[in-house]
Amino acid sequence: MNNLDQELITKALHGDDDAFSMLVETYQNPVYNLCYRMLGENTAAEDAAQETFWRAYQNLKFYDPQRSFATWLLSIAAHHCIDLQRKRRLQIFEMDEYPDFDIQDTGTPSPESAVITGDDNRELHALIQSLNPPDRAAVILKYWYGCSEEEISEMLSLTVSAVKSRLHRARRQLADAITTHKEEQVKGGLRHESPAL
Amino acid sequence: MNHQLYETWILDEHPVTDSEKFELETHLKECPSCSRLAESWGKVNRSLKSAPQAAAPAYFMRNWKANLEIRKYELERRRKRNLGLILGIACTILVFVLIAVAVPGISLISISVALLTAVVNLLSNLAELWALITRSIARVPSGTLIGISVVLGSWFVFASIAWGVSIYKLLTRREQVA
Repeated sequence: MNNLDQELITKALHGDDDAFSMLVETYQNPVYNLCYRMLGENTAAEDAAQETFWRAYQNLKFYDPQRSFATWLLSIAAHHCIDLQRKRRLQIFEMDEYPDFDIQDTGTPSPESAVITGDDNRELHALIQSLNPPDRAAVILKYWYGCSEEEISEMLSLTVSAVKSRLHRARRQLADAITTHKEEQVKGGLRHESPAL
Repeated sequence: MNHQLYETWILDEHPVTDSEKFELETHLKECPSCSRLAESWGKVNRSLKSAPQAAAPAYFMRNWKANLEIRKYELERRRKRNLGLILGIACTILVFVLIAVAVPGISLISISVALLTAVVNLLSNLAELWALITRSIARVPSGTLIGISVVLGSWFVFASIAWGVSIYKLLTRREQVA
C-alpha cells in the first residue's frame, strides 16, 4: 500500500469523509469491475460497489494496515457479490442464447474478438456467468486482477487447495462450454447445408 | 490411459519440464478429447487475459457522496432508536424495582408472579378462543365448508400461478438483460 493511501486511511479513521471519498475515487474501477463481472449487469454492479465501499467505511477500524487496501476492498466486494448471487440464485446460462459466440484462436483482432475485447463482451461475460459464484470470483480475481492462489484463498476465505480445485473446475467448465458450442455450430452448419446437398 | 495428468497440465498453468511438454504434445496428437480440451482452454485463456476492466460509471462518485450522507443519517437514526429502546426497557425495569422497594406490601417477587400470571391467563384465553373457533367450524354444514374450501383452494392455486408467472417473467427479463 502506498503512503498516500495510508495517509487517507488515517484521516478517514479520524472522521474525514473527504479522505475516504478520495480512496473511493482511487479504487472505484477495480471494485466496480469485480462486481460487474460477478453480477453481470451494470445497475446491480453499481449498487454492489456502493455497498462494498459503505461496508469498508463502516469497518475501516478493523482494517489491518499490513494487508493491501485493494485486496481488502476486493475481498469485501467478492463476499458481498457471492452472497447476493446465493440470494438471487441467478444460475441461468444456455449456450443457445448466444449464437454469435466464437473466440478466435489467432492473435489478429477480428470482428468477433473485437466484440470480446470490447466493453460489450457479451460472450465472454456469458461464459463467466455460467460458473457458480465462488468459482467465478476465483476466476475473476485470477485473470482480471492477477491474484495468486494464496491471495485468492485469503480474499475468499478458502484454503489454497480449495482455490486450486475451484480454478481447475472453472477452467474445465469454460473449455467444455466452448467445445460444446463449437460442436453445436458444426451440427447447425451441416443442417443448414443439407438442403443444398 | 491416465488423462487426468494431461488435463492437469493443460488446465492448471502448471510449469512443465521439457520431457513433460514432449509427453503432453505426443499425447495431444493421439488423444482427440485432450486435444479438444487444450484447444478450447487456449481460446478461453487468451480471451480472459485480453478482457478489459469495466469502468465505473461517471456518476459513481456523485452517487457515493449522496449515498454516504443518506446512510450516515439512517445509521444515526437507527442508533438513536436502539438507544431509546434500551433506555426505555431499562427505565421500565427500574420503575418496577423502585415500586417493589418503595411501596409497602409489594415485592419484586409479587410483581414477577403477577406478570407470569398475566402471561398464563393470556395464553389460556387464546386457547379458549381457538377451541371456540373449532367448535363453530364443526357446526357449519358440510356443503358450506366444501364451498369455503373450494374458494380458498382456488385463491391459493391462482396466487401460486401468478407468483410462478411473475418469477418466470423476472428471470426471463434478467436473461435478456444479461
